[in-house]
Amino acid sequence: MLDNTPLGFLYAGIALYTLGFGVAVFMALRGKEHDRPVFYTLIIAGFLAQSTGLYLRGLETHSLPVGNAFELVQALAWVAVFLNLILRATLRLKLLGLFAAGLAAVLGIASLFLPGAHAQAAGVAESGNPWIEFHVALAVFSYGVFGLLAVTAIMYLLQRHGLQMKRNRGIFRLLPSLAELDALNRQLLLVGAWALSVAVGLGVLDWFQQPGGVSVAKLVVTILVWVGYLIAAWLRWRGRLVARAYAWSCVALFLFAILSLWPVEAGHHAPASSPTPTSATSNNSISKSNG
Amino acid sequence: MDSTGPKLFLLGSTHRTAPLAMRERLAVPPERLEAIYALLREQVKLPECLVLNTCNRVELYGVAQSEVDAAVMRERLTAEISRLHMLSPEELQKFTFWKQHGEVVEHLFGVTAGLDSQMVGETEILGQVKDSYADATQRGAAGPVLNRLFQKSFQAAKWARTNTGIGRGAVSVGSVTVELATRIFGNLSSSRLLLIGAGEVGQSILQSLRSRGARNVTIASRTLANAMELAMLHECVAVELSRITELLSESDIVLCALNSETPILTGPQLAKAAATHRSVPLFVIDLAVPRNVEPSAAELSNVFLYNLDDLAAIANENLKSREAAMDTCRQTLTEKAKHVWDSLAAR
Repeated sequence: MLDNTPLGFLYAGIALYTLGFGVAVFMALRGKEHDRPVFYTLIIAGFLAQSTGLYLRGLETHSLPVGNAFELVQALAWVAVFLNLILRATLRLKLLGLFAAGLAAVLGIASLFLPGAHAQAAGVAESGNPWIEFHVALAVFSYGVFGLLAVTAIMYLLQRHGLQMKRNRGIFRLLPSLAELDALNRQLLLVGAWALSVAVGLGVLDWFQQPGGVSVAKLVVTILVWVGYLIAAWLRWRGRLVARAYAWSCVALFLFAILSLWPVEAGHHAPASSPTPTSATSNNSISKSNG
Repeated sequence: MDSTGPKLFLLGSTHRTAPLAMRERLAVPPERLEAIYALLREQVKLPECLVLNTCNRVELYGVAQSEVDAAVMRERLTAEISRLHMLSPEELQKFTFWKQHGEVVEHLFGVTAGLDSQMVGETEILGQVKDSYADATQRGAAGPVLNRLFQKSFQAAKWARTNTGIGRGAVSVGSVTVELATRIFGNLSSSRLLLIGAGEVGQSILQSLRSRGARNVTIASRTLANAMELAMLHECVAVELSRITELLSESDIVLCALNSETPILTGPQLAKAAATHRSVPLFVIDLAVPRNVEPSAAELSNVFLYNLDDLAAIANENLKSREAAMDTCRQTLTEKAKHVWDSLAAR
């Protein structure tokens, strides 16, 4: 199973994330913060394995390896871990690594059940349009940011629950403060919403140039996700969606976004090739590449 | 323990061996330290010595020149110290303890790790031991044996804190309040604090919160003069009790410690204040008995209400957890101490 093929590296990445997450959860349940050297060795090794797997898969198509649901979810997990490593270095938020590893492990394991794992690498190749590749990269990045936002929102809800239930032991004592999590949630939503807006904008431009290459279902879902996040950002800015309601909204929006991927992909594409999360518009290129 | 190696000894008096009144008599104020060191080095002729003096303990660590010397050291030291404190040697002996060789290492490891403290696992003691060691080093009183012993004890304390639950969780009402406030607001420097009541309980919690960075403080009291007196002490604002409703919406942390038969803060009052807070929760600590805050306020979504029982329950839970970690910690520290003593004896 774990060999030198791209799939082998991706499997190794999932295994290492899951192991790191397991070790950290075990420690957290005992009220201890995870052993950082051990935890981060596992997560960085997983990240390197996953990067190598995605890179090798990308080489096969000479483009971004996000051409089917499996690759797409793998890429989302990669972005979430990458962002976590950056945030870890800058913000030093306790337990963020644990939760991000959990997200990466869940996404990685879920990706194994998605169509495309054993298919030939698909990518968004042969589009020949760098803007489309940029659009896809931005869309994947924004989904990764939203994934991490869902994670920090869950951390916020847990901390809040612990405070309301007057629990002060175990994981509750280790979580970052509500204020830190709230500030991070706000920033992540802004970053994700901006990235997704630019991605959608680029896609729309492409759609105007070559209309008709995108399924209506995919178009509707993509627009719904985008509008959902924009509304959440606006309500947050206006102070109407705050605290627990805001955190739940972030989790619900990400669940909707991620769950909407599979049915749309499965119902629309041949197994070897399916498009990016928000790439309603990038389907033009995929469709073209599919002949 | 064996008697080979350095002739290490310890004469001490702590909260375990002496009542407060005796500890007060034995305490060594900074201005008398010079005299104590002079006594130990010039009259008792100790090549190495160190005085550890905290509110709960006075301990004299020393290295004698020979085994015979060490054997008579207790008597000699007791005589000198009792003379210094104007006590009879018998009286002093009753409230002190004596340890030698490896027992000293084991004892010091327990002290620096907080195992021997009144509040198990407290961290202040480590700083106090470090200060005493630095002082002895500066005076040229600590030599190779005490240097190694104390350095190793600092490492042992660090190990205990990192690897056992000995220092985990706050164990006083003040520190539990600070811990909870930190879980909500993170850095307390920008949190706005309203203290209702200028009594001792409120003051003590206020002190804890201020020591963790809370600066923006308003004190409300029935008697404005009391509030002003406290406000001057803490460089903050004093207001009359009638203004608390309007101040609630401008506060993040509300400390209630007012002697009152009926609640002074109602659910609707707090609901209104919480609504103006939006994303920032309102942390209310009710330290009063009878309670100052209507219990129904705990149901409000953006209000975290803790009363004295809640805080005490957390403190007790943490204390139990620390005590549970004590045995494991002591066992490992004993092994570490034995290892250090063996290496000292082998020199």
